[in-house]
Amino acid sequence: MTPEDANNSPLWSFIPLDRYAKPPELTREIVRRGFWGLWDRLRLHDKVPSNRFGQLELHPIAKDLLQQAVGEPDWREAEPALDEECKDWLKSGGQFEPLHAVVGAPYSGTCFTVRYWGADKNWRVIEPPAAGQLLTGARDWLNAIDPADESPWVIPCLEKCYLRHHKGLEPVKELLEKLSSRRRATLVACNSWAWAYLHKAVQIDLVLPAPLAPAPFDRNRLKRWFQSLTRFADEAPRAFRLPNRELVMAPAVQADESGQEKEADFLAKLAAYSRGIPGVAWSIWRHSLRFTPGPKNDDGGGDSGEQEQTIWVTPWENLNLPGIPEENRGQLALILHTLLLHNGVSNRLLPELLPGLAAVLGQDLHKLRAAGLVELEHGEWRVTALGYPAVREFLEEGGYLVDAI
Amino acid sequence: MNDYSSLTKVLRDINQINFVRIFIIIIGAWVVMRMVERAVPWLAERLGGRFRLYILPSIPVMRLLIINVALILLVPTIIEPTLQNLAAIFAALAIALGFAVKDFGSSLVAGIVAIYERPYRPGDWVKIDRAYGEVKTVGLRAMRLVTPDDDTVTIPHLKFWDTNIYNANDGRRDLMCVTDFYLHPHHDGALVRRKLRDVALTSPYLNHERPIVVVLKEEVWGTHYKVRAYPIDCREQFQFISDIAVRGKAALLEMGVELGWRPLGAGAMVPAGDSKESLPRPERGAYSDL
Repeated sequence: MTPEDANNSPLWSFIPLDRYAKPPELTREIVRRGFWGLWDRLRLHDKVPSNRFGQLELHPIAKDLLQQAVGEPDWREAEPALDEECKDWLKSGGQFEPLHAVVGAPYSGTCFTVRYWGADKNWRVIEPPAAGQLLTGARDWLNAIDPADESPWVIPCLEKCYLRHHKGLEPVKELLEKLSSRRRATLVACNSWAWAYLHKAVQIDLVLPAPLAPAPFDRNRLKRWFQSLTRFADEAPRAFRLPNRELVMAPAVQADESGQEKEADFLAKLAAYSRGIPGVAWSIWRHSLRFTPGPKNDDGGGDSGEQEQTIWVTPWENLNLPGIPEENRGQLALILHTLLLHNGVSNRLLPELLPGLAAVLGQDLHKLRAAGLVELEHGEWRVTALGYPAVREFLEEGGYLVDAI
Repeated sequence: MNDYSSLTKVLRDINQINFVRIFIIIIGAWVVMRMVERAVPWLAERLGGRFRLYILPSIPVMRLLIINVALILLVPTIIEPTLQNLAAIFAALAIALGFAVKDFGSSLVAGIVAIYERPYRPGDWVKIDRAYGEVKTVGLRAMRLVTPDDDTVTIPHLKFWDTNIYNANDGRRDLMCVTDFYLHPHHDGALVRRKLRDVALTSPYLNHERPIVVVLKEEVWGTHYKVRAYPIDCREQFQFISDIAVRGKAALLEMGVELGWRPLGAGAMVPAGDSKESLPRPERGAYSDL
């Protein structure tokens, strides 16, 4: 694909899950991470974050400026891509293949996209039951789902319709049975970790074959997306640069101009590290941004023009991203794996899913929170976007069941 | 007198023997061996996961290499390394080993054979006679394993010649665990099998790449179920079995299935869950002890 093709291709698109390939990692980055990873494991190297780079002293960016530099993602933007992918299916009214599935990694926004998509089309949105209901065996939720219902359905969060508990598999088995007997269009969205588990536990792919997945965000896509999220109040174009003045991302208005400055490979590294998951890349991007205190926040360079101001980007090697604590790694792995399989678990449910760790859950969760790997949001513990790549790598190395994304 | 003169012919003149060099070689080899024995397990623990089982078995091989190098350096220091001299020395050593320290020599030879045949490696879970545990070290003369109750058992390699060695993981990271359930015979067997499968399937320790099998056998006292599954790491086998046992018991009680009793000897009855044999399978697939 030429750079022009890459720029003209849609930002959001969906591809078959089995064709998902994370953006490639640069060879020197593989070597660097391998070497420092081993060094860290042997505890021969303590990473001390520094905010000084030569003459520059970089500081965390103010909240309002950060919001302007990288606005909140709007997952509705992916709706047209889903429309495009489901065009033929929608035309036939799901007559021949009534069931379609979309599998998204954590922080890919898939659940939101599918929910908005269904709501915009006035499809019936099947909400998941309260988590506790899955354990009590209350059947109100399942009884309300009638496969003979003539309206098309959207199930936006299948991962919330099961629990990795001996009582938590029956509801999803029954739901899949109901779905398989349906003859009307139904779109199911599922978290990639839950999908991997349900594939092993209940052979979900027999009922929902050939699922789609959001296409990975490579360097080019990330750049275009981040440029579209930039909304400075003074509307002045700002470049994003490394402390050595290398350009990471030009302002969107300059993006199409010829004779551009050569860009650093920061976004390529970010795309590979975040496995092409937009929400993960978005969090790391925000985390990497810095500013220099002082009356002027410009780089002083004459080439970029006086109007251009600069947002500084922490060099990739100096990013202080969360790592796995050294103690009790086996226990921590069990907790992190459980959180990912359910895309977040409440305080009350966690001991039910990990009865063997009930006595130490509290302290382990606080240890993980202190390491920046988990957060408590809306009453549920979940793996943070910043910590997700490290957690996934840790679980994969540990031999745990991991997702396909 | 004649023997003495032939020995002195084999050995170098005492004035020619460099005792400092011998001392340095022996101490050096000993220090390097100790370093390997400490550094490799430390490195294996730091790297963890699958790397542990790749690295640990290298210890005996490295030790053998160090000994060989030390011998190669030592022999010419003590004797004139001609063919006749070497033959004489090794013949004398063989006779000495054969008569004086036969078992010790046999253990040494078995230790060398064990390095190549690999019936056990550091990190393996093995059962030899009545001892079951994780192999911690494979020494020159003996191996050491640590039982789940933290007892260290030293077993000479000599056992290798005439004892069956049960290796549960054989260099792999996982091993099959068997969880037993002893139930009252009045229940729906198909439902119980399905439920026990779900219990195993929802264990956080489960290795999903390996199969889960639930088998049962009707006995005179009730029904004996075995859940066979693999944990992700062999070190988690006891947590895995306990997890399946605790959650399985709860699930069965909720289903209204009565947990059974099994006979132990003539007339004595014990609750099934209290049996030590429900811990990992030393006796794979053996029903005869029930």
